[in-house]
Order: sequence, then structure tokens, then C-alpha cells
Amino acid sequence: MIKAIGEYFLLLQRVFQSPGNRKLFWKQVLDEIYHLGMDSIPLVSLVSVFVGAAITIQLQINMDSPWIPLYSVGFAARKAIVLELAPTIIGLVLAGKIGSHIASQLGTMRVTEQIDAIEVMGMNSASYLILPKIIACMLFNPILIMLSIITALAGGWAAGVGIMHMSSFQFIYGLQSFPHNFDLVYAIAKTLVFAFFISSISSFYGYTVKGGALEVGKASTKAVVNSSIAIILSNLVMTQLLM
Amino acid sequence: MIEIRHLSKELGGREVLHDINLKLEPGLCNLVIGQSGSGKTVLMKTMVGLYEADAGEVLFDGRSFKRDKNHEQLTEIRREIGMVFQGGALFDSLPVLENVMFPLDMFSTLSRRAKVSRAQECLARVDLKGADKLSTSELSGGMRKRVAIARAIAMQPRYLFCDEPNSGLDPRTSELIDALISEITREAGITTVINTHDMNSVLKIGDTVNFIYEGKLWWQGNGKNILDSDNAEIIHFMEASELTKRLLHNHRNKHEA
Ligand SMILES: Nc1ncnc2c1ncn2[C@@H]1O[C@H](COP(=O)(O)OP(=O)(O)OP(=O)(O)O)[C@@H](O)[C@H]1O
Ligand SMILES: [Mg+2]
Repeated sequence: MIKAIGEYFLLLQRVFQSPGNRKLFWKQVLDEIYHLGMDSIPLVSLVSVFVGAAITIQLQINMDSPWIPLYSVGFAARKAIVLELAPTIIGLVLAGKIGSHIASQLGTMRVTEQIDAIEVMGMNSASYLILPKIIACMLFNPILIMLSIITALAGGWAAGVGIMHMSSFQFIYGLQSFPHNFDLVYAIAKTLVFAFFISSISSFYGYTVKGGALEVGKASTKAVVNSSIAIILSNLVMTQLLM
Repeated sequence: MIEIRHLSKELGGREVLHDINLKLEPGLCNLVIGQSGSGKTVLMKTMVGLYEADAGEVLFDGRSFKRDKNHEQLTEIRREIGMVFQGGALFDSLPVLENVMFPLDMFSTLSRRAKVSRAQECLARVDLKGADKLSTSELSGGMRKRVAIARAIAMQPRYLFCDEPNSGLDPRTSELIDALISEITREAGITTVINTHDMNSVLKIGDTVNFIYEGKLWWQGNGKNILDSDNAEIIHFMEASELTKRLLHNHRNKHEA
């Protein structure tokens, strides 16, 4: 474990070293945004709508008391969604989707000697292959999280109004009460950190595969597990630090 | 010229290469032959620095990249290297033409049109005209090898490394590939290193032949005098091929007569 962490930092050092050659960098970033980001939009929306709905229903059931004002459900749903649900839950979902994609792609390139082929041309393969993925995730994941917030709130509204027979006015009033812009900043900050962990940790496991197809599969699993652990631990640290 | 000095390499706790000393001349096809598992691929990868040598060094016209902290020398030398991997190592996210153009895209300052025409020229040399648009998954094994060769020669390398460029190819295509490599080697005075266990290639294009046995350089000669060798291991190696077995037989009869 300690050895893996050491190797991870050595690889990161190479990623941020002079690339040897860096033409077409932004084209690569756009490609990665397309493959890693755009491709995740349906999954992120789907998960967010349903989790947003479930949270609202839970809140409504548990806050059903004459002492609590009706709009609190909307307010609490907003807080939960912006602070934890969107950044953290969707972070974990993306760790599964993006992480396994990156690790199996780089792992396959490793075992079929494609990485050696890039290296032998006199390029820094780590920087060439990994940096665009990190940049793409850090640029696009915040957009995914915004999307997640919006779709989760919409899901919450639909469930509250459609299933729990809340008044639409009360829910939306709740959503808008006690605005706190720092919450959004906090969500984006977490997302950036998670995006870095997902892309760099999965790249590490893919890039350093040794062996054949079987090892690529194992690397992909390790990538997802370890990015998820990194997300959960750093989430705890950041919650302590920032809130 | 490439000079290998006292090169040793250990892998998985076993010494795979032992104290190899070798000079490889420009304008010639320098063959490295030996049984499967003898260490040909490891030797080639150690030469280009994909494996780090445990001892010894490799000089590319006097330049070595060992102990080169800034990777400057390494990068400089590698820009002059073309390499054909045993499995082709084509980029499967790119179609054929883009594969061949990849080094040009990375390093040349040519216009896009000039790069395309250079890539097409390389594809034509390996007899793959019109395969531009195919994706790598649509290629046969032999076509993959040929695309890999086209990619390796795209930047007009000064050193060309081919790991079994014609294994798995039919005899005719094999011969075409051999002829092609030998031709560009002579034309441009490239220092070419070819790993093979094809005796046909040894006899045809073996300007120098270096026989590796259990990680050691066992015998040196060329495609002409290899039949005269009295080295037991190399005779054993040659007798495994029907072609050379028969040639050896005729050769001995001639001498006895
Ligand atoms: N990464 C590695 N780790 C451990 N041992 C290795 C590694 N790569 C190669 N070897 C060992 O080194 C020896 C030489 O392997 P190498 O691939 O160079 O053989 P080769 O001569 O190219 O054979 P072939 O003709 O089958 O390609 C083999 O015994 C192999 O088991
Ligand atoms: Mg080999």
C-alpha cells in the first residue's frame, strides 16, 4: 500500500513534467470530455432524479410535525442535495464509470505495448496520456455536478408534489429560503478534488498494469475501489475543514 | 552505428541477458536470432531504454542515455528511432492512416496535407494502398505488422528496430517485408536491427547475424557463412527448419565430395 502511494506520486510527477511534446493538447482534452463527460450525462441525470426524489420523500415523512414549517422540506432537500448528494454520491457514481473506463483503456494500451510505442518515439507517455484526462475531468465534472443538482431538485419537486401531495409553492419557497452561496462553492470545490482523485488514481492503476487482459480487469476494479475510498476520506476531511 | 557494451539485464530474479557486446553497422540489416525465450525482445527493449540495463551501456553513434537525469539525450536519440513491436502496438483508437501519421503529428512541422501524403507514401511501400480508413480491428495479423512498419519509417529514422517483423506472415508477404526493410536500410543508411527466427530471412538479408542463446551472445557471422558454422547450438537451431536442414545437408555433401 505504502509502495503504491509512493509510485502514485512518482507517476504524478511525470504527468506534470515537461511533456516532451505537446501538440494537439486541447483537442485531446475535448476528446476526453466527450468520452468521459458527455457520456456520463444520462447516468448522472437518472441517478440524481431518483435520489433527489427519495430524499424529499424521506424528509417529508420524517418532518411531518405541526412544529416544523411546511417549507422546511424544500430547504432541507436543497441543503442535502447541494452539500452531499450531488458532489459525493455522484462523485462515487463517476468513480465507477469514469474510473473503470480510464483504467481499462490505459491498461489495455499498456499490455498491448501502445504505451511503449509512444515512449519510444521520445514522448513522455504519462503526461501525454494522463494529463488530458485529469484536465477534462476537472473541467467537466463541475458541470455534471451542476446538472446533478438541478435534476435532483427537479426530482425532489416532482416527488414532493406528485407523490407526497406537498404544495408546489411551499417546496419552492423552501428551496429559495436562506440562500447561502457558499454551499455551491463548497460543492464545486469538493467536485474538483474528487475529479482529480478519480482521474489520477484510475490512470495510475491502468498505466502501471503488468501482464495481460486478466490484470487489466483487476486494475479496473482497484481503480474504482481506491478512487471511491479517496473520495470518502477526502470528503470527511473537507467537511471538517470547510464547514 | 550502435554499440552495445557489457549489457546485462535481470528480470523476475533471473539474468535474461548476460554481458552482451555487439556492434551494429549502419546501412546493414543486423539480425538477432535465437530460440523463443532466448532474450531477443528483452535485448531490443533494453537497447531503446524501455527496460533499464542493470549493467553496461548502449551507444548510438557515441551517445548514451544512461545516467541521463533530464532525459534530454534519451529524447534526442528516441526521435531518431523507429520501432516495430512484436505485436504491432498499433493505437486502436485511431484508424490506419492516423496511426502512420501519429509521429508526424507529434514531431513534424509539415502541413496536414504533406503529412497525409507522407503517410500514404509509407503505406504504399508496405503494399497497403487504400487501407487508410480501416480501423485497426479490421486488419489481419500481417496487415497490422505492415502498418506498424509504415509507422516506424514515417519519420525516416536513423535507427530501425524490428521485433519479428515477419512472424505469422505467409512466405510471400514475408519476403516482401524483408526486401522492403533491406531496401530502406540501404537507401537511407539506417542502422537496422531485426529480431527473427525465420531462417529464410537469415539467409536472404542477414548482413550480420548474431545468435543469442540463453541470454548470451553465442555466435556472430552473416547469412552467407552461417551454414559453415560448426557451433553445436546454432546447428541445432538451424536443423529445426526444414529449409536450412536441407541446405545444411547439401552443403556438407558438397564439402565431402
Ligand atoms: N517482464 C518480464 N519479467 C520477467 N521475465 C521476463 C519478462 N520479459 C521477458 N522475460 C523472460 O525473459 C526471457 C527472454 O524473453 P524474450 O521475450 O526476450 O524472448 P524472445 O527471444 O523475444 O522470444 P520470442 O521469440 O518468443 O519472442 C524469457 O525467459 C522470459 O520469460
Ligand atoms: Mg520476442
